[in-house]
Amino acid sequence: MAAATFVLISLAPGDTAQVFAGQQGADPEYLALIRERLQLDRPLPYQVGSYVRAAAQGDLGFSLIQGRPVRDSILARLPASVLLAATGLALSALLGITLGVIAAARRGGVVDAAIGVLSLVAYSLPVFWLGQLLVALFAVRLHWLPAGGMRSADEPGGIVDVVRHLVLPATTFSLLLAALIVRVTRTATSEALVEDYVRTARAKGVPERRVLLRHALPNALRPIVTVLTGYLGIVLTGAVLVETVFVWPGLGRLLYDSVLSRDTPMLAGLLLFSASLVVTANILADVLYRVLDPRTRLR
Amino acid sequence: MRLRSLLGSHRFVVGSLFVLGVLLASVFAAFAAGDPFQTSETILAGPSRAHPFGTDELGRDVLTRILNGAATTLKVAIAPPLVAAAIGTAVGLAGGYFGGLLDDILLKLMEFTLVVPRFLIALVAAAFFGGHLWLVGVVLAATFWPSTARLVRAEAISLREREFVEASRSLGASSLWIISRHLLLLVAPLVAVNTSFQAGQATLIEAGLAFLGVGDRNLVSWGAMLADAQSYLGIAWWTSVFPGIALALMILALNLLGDGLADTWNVRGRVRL
Repeated sequence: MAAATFVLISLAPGDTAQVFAGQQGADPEYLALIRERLQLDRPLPYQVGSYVRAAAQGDLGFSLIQGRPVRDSILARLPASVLLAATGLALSALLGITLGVIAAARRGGVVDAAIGVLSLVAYSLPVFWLGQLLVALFAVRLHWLPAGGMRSADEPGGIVDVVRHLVLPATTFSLLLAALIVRVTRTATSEALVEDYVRTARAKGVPERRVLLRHALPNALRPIVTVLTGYLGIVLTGAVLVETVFVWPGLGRLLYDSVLSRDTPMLAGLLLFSASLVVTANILADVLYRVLDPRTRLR
Repeated sequence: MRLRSLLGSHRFVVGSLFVLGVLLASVFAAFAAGDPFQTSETILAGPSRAHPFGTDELGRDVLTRILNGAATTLKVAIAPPLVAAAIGTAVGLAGGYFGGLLDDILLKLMEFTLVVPRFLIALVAAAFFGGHLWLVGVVLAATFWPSTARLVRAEAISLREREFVEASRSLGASSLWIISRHLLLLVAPLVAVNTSFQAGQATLIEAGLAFLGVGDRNLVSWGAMLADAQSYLGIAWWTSVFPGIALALMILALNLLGDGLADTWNVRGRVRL
């Protein structure tokens, strides 16, 4: 995986030494020096080999642009990304599951139809446009919330300040995911509601509310976990668009910058990090299935 | 029979009518609408009779640009998903029906495309090799088909054990005949639904790339219009609102179309939106 990423990026046109020199038509001797220092003059298999060996030891190399280890840059941006992702995921899970269960309970009714249409519309909104609209309305027109960044430049005021900056990006981010969760929750809960054990529970006189929340929903959680963990894997780098609109200092923005500046080691490091996150999310999903579904614990 | 039940689905009708409308609009734009790159003195003018959707920061007519941008969106929304559907169906049917080495390779490929998000691959490719529309299309088709193949494969595996396949084989039908005459027809609804959802994703990805400034600069793109509008949100809402509505409606229409198909053919839940 790491090797594939590295080779793919190395094949791209453009001379890394040129970028590093920072100007077109730089002194040839200077370029040669850079190539030697960065070992760009070595054959590709050698470069790939040394990269993979170092990456296995947690060394992702040195950023060409930022002039510091890739790992440090990633770690520096990580908190902002995690904050946005965690808030977004929590919001969307809360909103999505609630609306999904309501829709399932009122299957075929007006409320169900309304939630269905709303979620489809929300799912179809391009995140960057939604972000723009929110900025135009709440930041530019009403001056309620800041338009971008994570802290105020003039008076960084602690938690309240960060939360105020977080509201718009987190809302933008979670609407789309919430729409997806609504749909999955509705389908799964509706399916569970026609099962025999639900009929049994109802026949025993269990209140409808309890049937819904204690009998049907737990059995519908599996697909919801699949969606959420599936998203968790791509969430940090997948936030490129949201982070760009809101100038949020997270990993998505770092990835975008490193693409534009052809910072190969940074890009490779980020892709590797992102891929390992996907793997972690898959493991987490398996663990959660076991916690949520006792039947899978037997084997 | 099938057509009538399709027309009974409001979602399908609304969705396909809108896509048809966009198609007509882009044909109209090619022949009758003005030049989308024509600049003028009236910059950032609000909606008026001369410019129903206003003008942008270079005095270009927003409506004309939206009409011309429709072609860009349509190309990306239609071609890559169709190519992916053709390849994915062929590989998925073969892999699922025959199993063996082909199936193993297919599984490995699908794993790889699941690990790296499609948008990232497209972003890196567009930034490094230039965001030509055909390149974006190739990346999309290349990353769409494995997911199509996975769906088809799963379906083919369950279908090949069914009695009608056995019956057909006992009558002397070849594998090619069974696949093309029986299995293909049975997986078609699944592929159609999947393809229309992929069309929505393709639209979104093209617009996203253009928004990030790595799209095709020689074409009018709704995403690029939104990127330009970013600087004028406070003073010229129309530069963002109208292209955004066009884009959102297009994606909504494609999703409605897919939803309608899924409802009619009862494959809801098996294809992830």
